Amino acid sequence: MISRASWRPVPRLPIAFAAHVCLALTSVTTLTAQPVRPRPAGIARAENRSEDRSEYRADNRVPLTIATQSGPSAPTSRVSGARVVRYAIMGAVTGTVLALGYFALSEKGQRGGDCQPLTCALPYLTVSGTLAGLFLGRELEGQRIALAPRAGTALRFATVEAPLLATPIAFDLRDTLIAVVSDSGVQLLATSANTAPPRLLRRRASGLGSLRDIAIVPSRDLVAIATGTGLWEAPLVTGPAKRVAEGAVTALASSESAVLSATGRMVRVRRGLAATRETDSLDLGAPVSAAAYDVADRSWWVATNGALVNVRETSTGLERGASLPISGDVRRIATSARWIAVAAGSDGIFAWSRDVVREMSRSNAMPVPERLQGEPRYAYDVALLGDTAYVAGGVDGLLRVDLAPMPTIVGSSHQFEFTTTVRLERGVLWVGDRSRRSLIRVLK
Amino acid sequence: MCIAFRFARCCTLLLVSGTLLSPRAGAQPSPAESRPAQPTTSQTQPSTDTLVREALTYAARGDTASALQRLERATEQSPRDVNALYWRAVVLSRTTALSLTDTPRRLQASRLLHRAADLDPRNPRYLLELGRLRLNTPLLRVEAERLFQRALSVAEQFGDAQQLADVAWELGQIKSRRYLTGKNRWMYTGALAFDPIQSRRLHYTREFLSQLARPIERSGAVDRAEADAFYRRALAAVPLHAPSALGLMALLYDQQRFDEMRIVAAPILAAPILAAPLLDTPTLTTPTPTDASINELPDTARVLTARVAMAAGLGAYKLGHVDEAERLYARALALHTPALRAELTDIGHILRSGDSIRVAGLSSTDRLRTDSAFWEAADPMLATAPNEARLEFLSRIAFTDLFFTDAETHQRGWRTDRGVIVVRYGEPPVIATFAPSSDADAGDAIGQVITVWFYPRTEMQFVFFGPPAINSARFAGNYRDYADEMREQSPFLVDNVPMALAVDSLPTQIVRFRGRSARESELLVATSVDAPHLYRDAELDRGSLELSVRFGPAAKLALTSSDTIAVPLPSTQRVRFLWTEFVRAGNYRLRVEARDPAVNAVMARAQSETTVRAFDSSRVDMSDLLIADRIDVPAVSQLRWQALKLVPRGRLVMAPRDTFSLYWEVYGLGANTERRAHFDVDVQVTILSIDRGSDPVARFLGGVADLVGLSAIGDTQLGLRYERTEPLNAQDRVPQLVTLGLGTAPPGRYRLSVRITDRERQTSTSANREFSISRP
Repeated sequence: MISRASWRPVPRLPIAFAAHVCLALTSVTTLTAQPVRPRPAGIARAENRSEDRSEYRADNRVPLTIATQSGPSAPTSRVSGARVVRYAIMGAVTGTVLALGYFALSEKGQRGGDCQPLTCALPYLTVSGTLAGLFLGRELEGQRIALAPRAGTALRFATVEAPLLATPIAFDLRDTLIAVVSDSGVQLLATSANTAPPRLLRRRASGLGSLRDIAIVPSRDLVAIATGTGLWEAPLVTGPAKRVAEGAVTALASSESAVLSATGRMVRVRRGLAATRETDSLDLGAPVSAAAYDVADRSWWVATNGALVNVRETSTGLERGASLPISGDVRRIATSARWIAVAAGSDGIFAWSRDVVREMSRSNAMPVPERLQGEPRYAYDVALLGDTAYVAGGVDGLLRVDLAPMPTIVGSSHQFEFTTTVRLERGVLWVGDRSRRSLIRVLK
Repeated sequence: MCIAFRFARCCTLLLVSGTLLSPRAGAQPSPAESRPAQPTTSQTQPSTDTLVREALTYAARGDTASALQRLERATEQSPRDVNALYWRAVVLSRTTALSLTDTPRRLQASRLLHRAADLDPRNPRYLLELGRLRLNTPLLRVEAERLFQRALSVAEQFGDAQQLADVAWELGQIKSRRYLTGKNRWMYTGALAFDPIQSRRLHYTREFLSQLARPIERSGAVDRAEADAFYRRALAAVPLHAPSALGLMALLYDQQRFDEMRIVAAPILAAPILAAPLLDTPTLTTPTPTDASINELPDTARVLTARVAMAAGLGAYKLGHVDEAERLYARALALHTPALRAELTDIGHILRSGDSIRVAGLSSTDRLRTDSAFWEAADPMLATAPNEARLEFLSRIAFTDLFFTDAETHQRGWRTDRGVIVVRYGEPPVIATFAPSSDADAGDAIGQVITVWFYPRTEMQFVFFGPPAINSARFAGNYRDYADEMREQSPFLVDNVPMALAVDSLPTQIVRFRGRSARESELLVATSVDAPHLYRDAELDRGSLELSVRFGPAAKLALTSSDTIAVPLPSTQRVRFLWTEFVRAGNYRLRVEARDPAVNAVMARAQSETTVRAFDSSRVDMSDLLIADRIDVPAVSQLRWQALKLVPRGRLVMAPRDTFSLYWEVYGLGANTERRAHFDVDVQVTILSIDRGSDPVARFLGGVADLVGLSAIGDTQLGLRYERTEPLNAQDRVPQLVTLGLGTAPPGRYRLSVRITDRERQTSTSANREFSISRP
């Protein structure tokens, strides 16, 4: 038991320093323990690479593993002894300097206490400083290794950050308008061409619960909001939100003038203005988890359990088009002029080139996707810019992947603590960071 | 099949380990227990294999003394038999504790393992066991990591997947333990250290953490990354290695990677648990189990699977997939042993100590009923399918199991000091870990990591001490007493559940009339939903308000009425709801709920325990008082409330100078010769308290006036007495209606009393109802 008398707040700077060196910085790793640096997953994968490749070669697919990405720029997985020694020497020098300072201040030990500067303080402080430097060096080295990207180079972006009211769940961008849906509701922000952070315009559809997704419909000046209870539409400027469809919305996407929403297996496309509004629907036969509008093809892509399905609007309604086989829990679909890609959680990234998809429609051959698997360990979102894909990898940060000629991780950035959303609008990259509750604009 | 076999093998090893590590291990066996299950009665020298097999049988039953005896004979008989050497060392090793007293035993085990490793260098199990032995050796724990690393190299070199998984898991555990005591690290920014004694002072912890300390970013990140890598290596080797899955899920949970938790758990939850080929094990690496251990083995596998299911449920819960979470928790509980299941679901954890003792003393049937009634009452909204309070409770249990259950210290998470607090109050919003003190004055804090848990909403804080790099902590100083005090004040809080915080109260008036017979009552429930308040922040064109009434005995509430009302927004008036039902006498629970599933804050409920009594027809009796909107008293008497078109009020808060109708019914009145009842009515309104607003001066002066009797408290504000003669109809029911005006009565709380005196029988009865007058 601690008695009140025995526990008193006392100045203890040296003690605090020593304690922090021992525990706060080094996690009680001692000198006797060998450095423990497990090989990164990529190296373990390398042993199985041949099997992986042969397995995929059968259907001409080449999965991208971390091993194939570990280039010369990939970080070493071992503690650099030189760096640790450097820190130890710095610690020893600091300790010695302190002891010599004490020697000078105590008038060559004349005014010193029991611990004389040269016979006691000097060895004590030098040894303490060396040990502290050693621990500190090991810890910093460990941090460097732990936080370094497992594949590609470490990227660093210039960014501008807009704090949000709560953790962003999803966001959509059109021109200079950003609509963010978070646990706190819907926020509209405006961005400008310069590097200033986005500014908050207003909140919309306050009070709505179980928010899931949002999409801006520019020609109708409204935002479509997907919730666990229905699909809502709210004017961009003022006015209340209206419920336009019942049931939990599992996927949402918008084009210039239409909104596609999915509830279970059913997809609905609403288009037109109030007076001429019409809704078409289509049963896809499997639960829908994500949707996107393909500007290049003027059609919709919808992810179901096991397939990426093309949905076209025709004069008679919605028509099911090409179907691309996929696996995993598809979270987001992205399209560009040359690629179609999906982020499929732990199944990584699937990407099809337009040429492959076109070939499929001509020859009925099963299209083979390019795959990025294993890194990031969980793909939350993907955005496409030319032949480059940006992947939101949660704790693995933001990854930049070159899709052609074959998927290659260029690098990743740990500036973002937990990236869950990524969007590209007019060549500008936007990232949603769950940990920092912010929306980040990547400048370069 | 191959995967199932590996899983079974892993569980078999854990069973043996678990049995050897059980509290019975090392104890002297009773004579009855000391008899082997399959004694070797042969007069000839038993073979070494037979001795080892027998020893393992004893060990599996907890009789380690007999096991050691046979293993000693086996090693003497065959000094180069690696199995005998190994198992003798294992039994010696597992019967030691982390103390210096067992040093000779450990030395002997170490010697045996080294000899076995020399004889069989291709097998990593000796190094693995040596590492485990070092973990139990004071001052040499760090050596364990090096031995495990060597074992890992050997396992990798010779391709033993199971051993590789086990070694990687051990290494992951070492890193995890460092991470768990290293995360949430704070450092002092001044010269003062955190004082657990002072921290009991109001605001000390809040102020200390905000002014004298700051968190260290990314503390423990390195250990976490390394532990993550080791667990993944174990799972890559054996995908169904449940202990590694649990370790990895804990790390993922800490980073809020809940999606990935489900993915890690999926293969284990999909594997057939009982399809393990136990008797086909080819070598003594897995002991040949006895009948008893066969019966136990599935339980061990089941418990591990159950723990994984609990952790997966926790991940699903955090993702908001409550149905999936509920399903996983149900599966986990079904997989646990009955004793463990009872312990996990014991509401005694979250009751005051006296109540928990009472509940523990109940019969199993009563206990089940009590559990159901408790959770039914605790559920914030019965209209939403999962019971949010119970789900939160189970999630807390899952959290404690994931983070505080530790094979090394043989502790179950929810039984630990930290686990108890988590189960009662949830995960602490603020955790600060401070480096150990080396101050000689610090008493039992010397060398101990100081962990501070702070709950800002309630200003509660708990301080724990624990050794570095060991997943164990206990209450610091007198915090155990403090925790007990807190338990008496607030045994269970769910203020971390958003829904529980959002639920508003629903004003409800309950009136009991006599029913169609004396044994039956007519229950009237009037509710008034404050739609303008509930929808105040909703920027929607309309709301969709779902109203429901659940009624029945406690733990057996049944939905009796529901309705959905469209509410145009912005709403300007309250939504009223009326429900009536004929019920028999008894004790009932009533729950009225209103919610709009689409809108966050629109949730309100009323819960009442109602006793419906039988009306006595042999003497004068009366119904409850019904307060309704004012109507003019009709010329025709004896009309019931429905015929009068009364609109009962749900909210009994009147505006100043308001007038309202008061209705009640009288039964059992004596009749005179003309078949008429003659009775006196005495209506009184008494002021119970005066609402003096928030002005402290007015409140103080008012309080003084109350004290010396100068204020109106206790005064009768309205007195009304009259005499009535009514013809008695065949139903023996005399409805009465009066209109009351409050005049200039001050804001406050009032009691309305009505007394009926039957002049024929000279008996009387009365009824009361409280209401309030709001401030203008």
